[in-house]
Amino acid sequence: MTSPLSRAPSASPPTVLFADDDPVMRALFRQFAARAGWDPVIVEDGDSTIKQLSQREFDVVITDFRMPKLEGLPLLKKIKGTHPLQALIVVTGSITVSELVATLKEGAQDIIQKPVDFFSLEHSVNRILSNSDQREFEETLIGKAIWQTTLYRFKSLDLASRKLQLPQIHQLHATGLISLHEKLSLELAVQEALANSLEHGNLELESIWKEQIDAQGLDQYSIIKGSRLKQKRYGDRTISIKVGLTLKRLAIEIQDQGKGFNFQPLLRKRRSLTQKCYGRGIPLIKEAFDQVQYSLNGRKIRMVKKLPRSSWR
Amino acid sequence: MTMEFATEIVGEKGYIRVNGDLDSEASGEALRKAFNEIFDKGKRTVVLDLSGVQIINSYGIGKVLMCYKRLKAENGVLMVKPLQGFVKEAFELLMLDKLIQIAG
Repeated sequence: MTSPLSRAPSASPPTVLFADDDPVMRALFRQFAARAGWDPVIVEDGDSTIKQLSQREFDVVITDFRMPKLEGLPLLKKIKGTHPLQALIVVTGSITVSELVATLKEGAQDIIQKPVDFFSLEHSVNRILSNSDQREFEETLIGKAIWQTTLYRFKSLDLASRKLQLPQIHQLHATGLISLHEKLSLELAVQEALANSLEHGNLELESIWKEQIDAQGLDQYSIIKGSRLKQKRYGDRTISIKVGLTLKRLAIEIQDQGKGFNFQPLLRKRRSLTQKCYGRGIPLIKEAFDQVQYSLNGRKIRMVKKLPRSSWR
Repeated sequence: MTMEFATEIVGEKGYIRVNGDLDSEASGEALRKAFNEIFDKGKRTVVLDLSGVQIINSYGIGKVLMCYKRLKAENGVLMVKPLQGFVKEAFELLMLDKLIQIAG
């Protein structure tokens, strides 16, 4: 079988199999295909898609991600199972993070969001048929895709009593974009940053108090922390967390309502041997994230983890 | 992960076996209490078994250092064993492996 991906230029129109359960979409595509000069076959579900592929070859298959009778990833797997070199474009109204990654891993050449811009679709088909650099294209596609920006806000008292675990980090590990080690490292770093914002920011606790330890091993820092959490002046202050996630990076911003501090010495500080009971949070954060920046006089920290290009293949 | 501390005295040494993550105020407080059990019985050589610890953060490290300093103030010794995985990395990153003896 001739690989559609290595199709030599010819005068015959591209053969396109289009699958969508929406009759309006099918009608629109029919009109567009006629204008573009394509040779279309149009079906309404996944089973019909597979049946058509068993009967003839197509240069490109364009399929809706969600249809009755075989859809989504099972449909893609089935297509690629019998036609591993089949050029494939997925059209979708909504797709989750893990589905997006899995769709590309299954070998889809493009993912187009609804409402469909048919001229973009035409461009995509032409690009595929001209065999242009797929990898470079995927970089552009992935780089522009902003999946989520999520905001959280907690009062100091609420945050002190919980161990917040960001679902985005869990998601990155679940989709194979980061290793278990990276997941643990990122979670740890986020806990450190939250603790800093809560304790040094909102509660205005001084690190040196950790060194003031009584005969029972109780330190002044813990005692004062407990006291200030119960005071409205400190306990009602909030911490805002903004998480931005794309396939290229994870960006987390944490902002407190404290008085701020001079962060420059902390960021510049090099590793050193010390017996102090404090001062280790920032090194752990810098170890996990590629970029760490402070702003707003130290009241906001921004941490960015770049995701390796190869991690989603 | 549920935090558990087991303490044991063998001769002149006290042993604290930690099972769980040392990454919260609660776990740090539990370590302090377990340490006090050994310390109050006059033992000044303490072995902290971290083999059951997957994660340690600055809370946990701060409490480990608190134990180290209380012992050192009385010419005592804190040892940790064994260092592995994430805990080993954290110790090496923060140069704690140069400060605290690693037990065999």
